[in-house]
Amino acid sequence: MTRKIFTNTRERWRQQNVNSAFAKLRKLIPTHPPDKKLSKNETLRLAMRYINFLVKVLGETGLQQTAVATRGSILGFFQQAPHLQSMEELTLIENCGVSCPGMNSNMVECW
Amino acid sequence: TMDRPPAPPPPSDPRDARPARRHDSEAETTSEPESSRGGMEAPADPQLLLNGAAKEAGRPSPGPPAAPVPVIELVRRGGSLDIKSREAAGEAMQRAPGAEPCRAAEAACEARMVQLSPPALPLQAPGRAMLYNLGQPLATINSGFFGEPDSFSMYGSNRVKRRPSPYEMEITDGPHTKVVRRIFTNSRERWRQQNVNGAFAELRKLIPTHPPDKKLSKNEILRLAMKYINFLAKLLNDQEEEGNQRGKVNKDSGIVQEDLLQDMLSPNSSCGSSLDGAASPDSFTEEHEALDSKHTRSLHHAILPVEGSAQR
Repeated sequence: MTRKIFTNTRERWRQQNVNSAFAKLRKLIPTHPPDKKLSKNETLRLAMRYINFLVKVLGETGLQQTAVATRGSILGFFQQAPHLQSMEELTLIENCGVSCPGMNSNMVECW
Repeated sequence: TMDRPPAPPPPSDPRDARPARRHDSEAETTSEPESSRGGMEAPADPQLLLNGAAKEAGRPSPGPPAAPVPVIELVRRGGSLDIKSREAAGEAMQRAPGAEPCRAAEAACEARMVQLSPPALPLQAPGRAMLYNLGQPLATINSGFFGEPDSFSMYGSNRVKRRPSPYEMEITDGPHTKVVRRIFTNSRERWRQQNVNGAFAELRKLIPTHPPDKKLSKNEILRLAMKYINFLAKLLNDQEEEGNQRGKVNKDSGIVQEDLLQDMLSPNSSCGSSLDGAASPDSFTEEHEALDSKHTRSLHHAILPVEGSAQR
């Protein structure tokens, strides 16, 4: 029974961690009004849109820098694999069809 | 009357069922109160390392909070969906993210989200309560659901927002009312949870990792998304600064990359303090630098005093 209590407590603590991460991510997403309540689903999808938008705005530069950052394990706690080419890191992004360098005229509509 | 403005006919796209799930329960209001308050910090960020090693428990999280008027309107439209169709929609959506390119999925999602999140909504909590009261006369047919308006926030969320269709009234009458209701609620909750997981998966696709198909926990997805957004925003900001200050000797433009790396290596406490409530509401209708300059300006302030708690 103690084990169940322990499990419940750990579960709750873990869930609180996730919720706090949601809250932090929510703060990065621009909305109107800024403190508008977003559901978890909404924060996820708006974060997707925002990321796509930022990448579009940055254009080619963004992709290059992202590849550099990824390879250098900057963006997260990834294991280092030093001698890989940047195209491998870009594969994930390109699969999503996000990159549209030079689409400056459509920036506003994209968002 | 205000409460039921005519809505466009729902597309046959399975995503039409998506808005229905947005307010399946209001429980999230109690579990995510911090999201609307500033200064919310994670209790212990070093624990993130554990999350990388441990598996996500995956306890079903409470659903989205109550939504303003148009969302409820859409739900009412979709309210006549029975369990099977809603589950089918959920399953279809589960397959969809894998089959469709992210763009198409996102486009449909964007269209839906624009529809659901109107910019200037005068209705706040009182308006929502008013809507619940309007739904009450219809819902009282399912007796025992709605004791008083207060119960809406706790129990009513699953029932108040949906005006019972004739079909539902049939299945909820009779001796097996409670059982059927529970099954229905379970199915809807599962369907909704699948939606959230699908959203997680799609967000995961946008986050650059090495290797690209590396498994990320939900916690990691969220925090990495934060870092990535900050990274892109800073990149954009520095890009703008570089353009504005061509010819002028500036430390920042010279070592843009180093600043970015430093920012990423430093603890992301800026995530909690960078964007205050006034962060550019209409950033994407006007020049984009407005958002990012404000965003990264705060980032700069947060970077210099490197705080002790590391995000790693």
